[in-house]
Amino acid sequence: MADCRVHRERFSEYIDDVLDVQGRRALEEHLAGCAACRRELDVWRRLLSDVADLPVPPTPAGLTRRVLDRVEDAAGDPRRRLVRVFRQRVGPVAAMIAAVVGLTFAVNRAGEVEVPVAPHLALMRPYEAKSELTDLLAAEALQMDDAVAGGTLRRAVPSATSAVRVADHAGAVTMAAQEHADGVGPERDGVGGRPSLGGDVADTDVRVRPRAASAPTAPPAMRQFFNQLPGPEAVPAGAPVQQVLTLMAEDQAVLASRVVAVANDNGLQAWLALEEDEGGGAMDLYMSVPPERYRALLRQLQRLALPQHQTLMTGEEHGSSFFGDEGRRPEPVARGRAPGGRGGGLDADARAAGRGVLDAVKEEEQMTVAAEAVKEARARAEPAGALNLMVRVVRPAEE
Amino acid sequence: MGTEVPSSEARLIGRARRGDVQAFGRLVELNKDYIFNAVFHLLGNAVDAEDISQEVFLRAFRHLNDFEGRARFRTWLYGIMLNAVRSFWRRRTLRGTVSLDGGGEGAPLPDPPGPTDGPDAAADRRERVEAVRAAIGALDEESREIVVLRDIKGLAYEELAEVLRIPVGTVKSRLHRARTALRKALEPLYGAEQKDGPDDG
Repeated sequence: MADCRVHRERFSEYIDDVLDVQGRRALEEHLAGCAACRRELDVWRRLLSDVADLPVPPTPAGLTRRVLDRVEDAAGDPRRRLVRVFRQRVGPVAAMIAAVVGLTFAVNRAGEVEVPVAPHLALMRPYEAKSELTDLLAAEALQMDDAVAGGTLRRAVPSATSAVRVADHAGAVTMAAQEHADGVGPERDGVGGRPSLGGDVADTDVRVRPRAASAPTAPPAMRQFFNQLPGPEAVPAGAPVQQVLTLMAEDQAVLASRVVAVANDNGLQAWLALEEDEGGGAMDLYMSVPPERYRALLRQLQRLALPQHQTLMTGEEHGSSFFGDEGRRPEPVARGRAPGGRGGGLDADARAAGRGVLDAVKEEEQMTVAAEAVKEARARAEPAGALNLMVRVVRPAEE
Repeated sequence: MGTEVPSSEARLIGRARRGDVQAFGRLVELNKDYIFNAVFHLLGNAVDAEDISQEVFLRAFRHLNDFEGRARFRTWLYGIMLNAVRSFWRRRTLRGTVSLDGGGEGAPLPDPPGPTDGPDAAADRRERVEAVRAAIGALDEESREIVVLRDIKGLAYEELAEVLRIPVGTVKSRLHRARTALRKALEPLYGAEQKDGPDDG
């Protein structure tokens, strides 16, 4: 019968008992006279009851504990935590990723290159950095300063844009955050409203492309923030290094990002410096650790590499007895080389062009904010009685 | 020692908002099974489900002030969950990782088996479960969302509208479409769709 199809269109609502009286009566009259539809309805009911009865594994024990562990230090104002997360966690990591991504691509490709940021950030998936970063980059693109966390955004976004600064500084690339509206619940469904229920805004791509020699393409709003961030230059010169932990990994950048994440998880800031070594570049991460956390932190860090791939010695043994001494003062990321020496091919012109742009940006607006940021970072870096740890991340020797 | 005063959800939320981690812990306890189950069925494996569940509660804690109390707390959590799951799907797409949904606990699921009349009822049931799970995993994401929330988690139409941010009319049509797709995918299990037949009687 031709109208079986029409009646079956209503099975779903009929089973859920949301048909109006008329619709229900019509369907029931048909069912009374149609065995095929009765059988089909029966199949639907069995299917849905099988779906409802699907077994689930038990909720993992300790889920609540793990959530609370991550929440605990945010017991105060979640906004404050966001700020902290950004300055300490996303800032340095984003800068490092930008350095790696930016330099590598700038050297290798002549044309426009799009680097989706997510895959790189996904390396840090166990940590929160990724979602926070993409959320806020996207938020900035949408100009929704206040949408997610009120006053936090204005301060957090500069951290994220440190990626831009670093790449630009390298002289060959600029990056522009771009927001993809796709996949965001409300928009996709064509219903307006607040950005989203859970504060998740959207994923963000970072485009990397050769920069025209004269025209810096980073939006002014971003450039305004370029130099607000405490970079490696904020590492207090002359602070004694108590210990040096050297970790070795094929994928140096990944390991370094894990070191940063561990530090950040412990509420610590890590500064990154790249250093040219014999052959391969070393990534030095400096951190000042409150004595009571030192052992635990060290244990966590040592878990990042196999025992045979790490050494621990005192600063004196290692010859790095002071942060930033003897010309070991960390260079800002962009002036260093890409890790593993891969970035060595940047030509001098490009580098000079980058400096030119940066100099243009370095106007008085920068002077005040930057000075303040450095001061603040130093204050954080030198808590009374802190132990200074340098984690050096190296690649295995080629030979 | 003393008997605990039964804490109403609203009171717990109020305390959690003021930074009371223990109160938030109670809220997690009360809702974790719902969230974990739903995420498990959406993603098809327990490891990612735990990950995303944690993320859901972290986000919830951070955005507790956005909870207006109009909807049930749990409904609000489901909304956050959906956002978290959707960004997980997006990330995975960006990473280019194609993971088969429905691969519960790491073991790849077999193709939906044909109709069986094996004597072993337990094995039969297991096959059925796996076939259904695989079929849900193979649905498009929009359909999977609504099937999980409605047919597994039992949300009412109004709640579905709230969580999915679509009108109730759209809930109805989307659900019909999703169930029809599921029915079609499970033909090997339940037999082909009944042909229109002559009236009986």
